[in-house]
Amino acid sequence: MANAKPIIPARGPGAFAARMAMAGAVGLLAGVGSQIFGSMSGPVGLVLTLGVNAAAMGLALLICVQWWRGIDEAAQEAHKWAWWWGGCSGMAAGAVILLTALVRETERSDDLSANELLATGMVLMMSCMVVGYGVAWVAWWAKRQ
Amino acid sequence: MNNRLKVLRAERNWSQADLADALGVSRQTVNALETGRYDPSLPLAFKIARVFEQPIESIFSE
Repeated sequence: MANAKPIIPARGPGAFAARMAMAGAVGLLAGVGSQIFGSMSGPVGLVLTLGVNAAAMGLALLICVQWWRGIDEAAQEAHKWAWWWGGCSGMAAGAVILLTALVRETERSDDLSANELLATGMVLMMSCMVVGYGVAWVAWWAKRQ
Repeated sequence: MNNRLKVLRAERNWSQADLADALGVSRQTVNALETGRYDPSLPLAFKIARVFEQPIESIFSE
């Protein structure tokens, strides 16, 4: 009997898209869970929120491990290179923006809470790192075509 | 590092996709190897040698 084709391909754009969708679904569930448990007062709500976020992160990491094992060594090398150079460059750019924003704080016109400011800084830094990562990943492959 | 991958593949009338399947890597990786812009790991170099039934030193050179 011929080997059955796996539902989720091991490599290629389809594999990447499938894993991204799975990770996105896990993130969505974590967001919904956080919203529900986060509104509960007391230590139970805190523990449940922590639990749902930790479980989601663990699941997302498992999806990443499965995807990582399916790609070949050049693809892994491209990601490692992009993680180091692109991620670090993005982090440096994010740090410049955040440090500049810190010293110019008095000119801030909005009225954000401490949590909102923290989340904004986190998202800004992550966005810079993801952009740097993407640029470095494209550059790695473009150089080897 | 230089290699004779393109020549060896052409001698066998294999496409890059054929070689990629034989090695268990992507076609993009085969292309990167052939252009000499990516040096394979030792396990992959041994696999290439096995696929072409030649010693590693006859495929790769400094």
